Amino acid sequence: MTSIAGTIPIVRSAPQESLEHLVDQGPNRFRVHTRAYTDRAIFDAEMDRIFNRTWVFVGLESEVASPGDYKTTFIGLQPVIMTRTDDGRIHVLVNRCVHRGSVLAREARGNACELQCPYHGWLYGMDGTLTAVSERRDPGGYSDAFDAPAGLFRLPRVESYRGFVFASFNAGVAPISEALGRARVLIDRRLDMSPTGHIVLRSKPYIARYQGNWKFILENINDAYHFMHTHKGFVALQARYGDSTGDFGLHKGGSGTAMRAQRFRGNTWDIPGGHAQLERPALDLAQELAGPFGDYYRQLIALRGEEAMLDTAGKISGTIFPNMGMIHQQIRVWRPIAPDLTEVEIYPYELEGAPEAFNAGMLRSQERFYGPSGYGMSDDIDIFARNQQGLAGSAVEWLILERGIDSDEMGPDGLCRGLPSSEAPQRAPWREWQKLMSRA
Amino acid sequence: MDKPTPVQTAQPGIFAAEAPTLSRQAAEDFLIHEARLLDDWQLEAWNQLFTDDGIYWIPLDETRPIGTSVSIVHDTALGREERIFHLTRNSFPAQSPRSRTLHFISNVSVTMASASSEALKATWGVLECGTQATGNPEAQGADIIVRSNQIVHEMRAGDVRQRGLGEVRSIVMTVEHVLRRAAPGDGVETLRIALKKVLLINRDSWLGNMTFLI
Repeated sequence: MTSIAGTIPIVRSAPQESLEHLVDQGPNRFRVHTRAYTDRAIFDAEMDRIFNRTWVFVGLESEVASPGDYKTTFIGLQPVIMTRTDDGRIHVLVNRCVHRGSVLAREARGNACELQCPYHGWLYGMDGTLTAVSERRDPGGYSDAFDAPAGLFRLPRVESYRGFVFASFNAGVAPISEALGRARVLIDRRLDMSPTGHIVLRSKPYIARYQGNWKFILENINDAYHFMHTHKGFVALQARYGDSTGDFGLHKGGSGTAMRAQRFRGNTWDIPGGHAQLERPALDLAQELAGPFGDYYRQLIALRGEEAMLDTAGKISGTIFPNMGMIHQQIRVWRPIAPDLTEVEIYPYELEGAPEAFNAGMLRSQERFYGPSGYGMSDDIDIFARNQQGLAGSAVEWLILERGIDSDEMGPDGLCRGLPSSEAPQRAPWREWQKLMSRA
Repeated sequence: MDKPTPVQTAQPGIFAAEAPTLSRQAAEDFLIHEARLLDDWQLEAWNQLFTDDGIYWIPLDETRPIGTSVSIVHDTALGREERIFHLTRNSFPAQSPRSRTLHFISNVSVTMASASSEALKATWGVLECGTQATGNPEAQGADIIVRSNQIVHEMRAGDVRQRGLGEVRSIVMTVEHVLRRAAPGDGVETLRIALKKVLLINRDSWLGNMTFLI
């Protein structure tokens, strides 16, 4: 009988040689080769060496709150289902009947007591165990000699950190808490804005696709440098309407000068494992305490302590390599489809126990910036298509990611802190990329 | 013994009992006028079609009351002013080059939104700004609901050989206009939009650049 937990899948067509030469690192030098964004063979190698090897974010525990709940998603190109069984455990299964390949679940979410293949009727439990082969003993069926599979391909590792579920095809990955390292700060600070430490998903996600490589969005979330340029239209809008249309989220800041000043405070982080962060110090807490949400902030200070609250109430955005990020009051997930096609899901969440008006304001300001009709993200997506178009100019071989490289402070543990507009958060995923792509 | 249940002969929202005070012809005239303002980039004039408390709403999840989850667009008067300012005065990548649009309108129906109308409750019950909420007895029952199916064809020009440009996209939607009379009279010119609700057929799928007005 074949084990239900298989070995690491391999894309056979992917190149087998080291691809570390596609990142050129040296003193004051950090360049990435164009092919890393455009070449199909390298894309296939990424599916093998990155998405099939590392932890990949698959969803929140609360998305499969009850036994029988499931959610479908992808790990790289592979369709998977996250399920919860009666014993409360969460499983991540490849969404493919092991008989002749049909996808089992075609709803994005649902509740079921079993998974049945619509093609020939094979039946699986919610943990993936094969419970019945239909018409098994019929004439021309299966004899006792049949080497029946144990069930669906179940990912060998599924672990959570504060309700965020990660899965890996690689049984040998470090525990998730260790793999996240300082990236835990991102999740901690965002969740600690809730008095209960929990977030609630009530909105459907915004889903976008762009005609560009998946690393563009990974690089973009923590990019302080692009903001005053790509989003200069938004900056003009914010200066004129910011107070009245109520963006009290990430972009609160009033005038263009004030926004510029704010964008150049704080730290950037390049975290081992390819994770990255952009941190801004807290707004004037005294001002928040005097404002309409003063009671809420006082409650948080009582719970977390004033010093911790200065960090928690600061602005933080970050990415967890390779497929997830947090910014504003949202979880962002992306999946590669092809070298030049990427899908992005934005899950605006609400803070359990926060004032209704606070959560509502966060929703409104995300409509204003991140939605498909908003004044921010649609510009980034337009730029990503331009990037991919520009990369067709292959006479120029390298992209330059060297901003702030000589002012970065590299710690002994590989944790690297940069100045606020350094490209340290853009270098972070490429360091990990290079490490993983050097091994076939 | 209970009275027998009356036979339901009219489907609420499509064949309302109350006779519409707006003919289908007049409703079409209004929708064509609105569409032409949008397609001709007369955005300020388009905005003037709305009542002061009018809402331009493109829900992502129409099963939830407006405001309780994220929408694609949820514009009050100020929101529309900001959107139009952005489109007409700011330069930004998603509209450089700009979108051209062409609206096609069909399946127009007109119903009156009486207090008993399920369609009205479904919309107004969550809006807090309709005749029910304001309690204006003269306006009570006076709202006109115009439903239409619309297709907007959109294209960004410029160097049409580049990614994202030169492709004609179809935005397919049901539109519900809740209209009110701004002044006495039964002409199209006295109608104002209290709500424009756009239900995209692909609202729960991936959406491309939607930074133009539909």
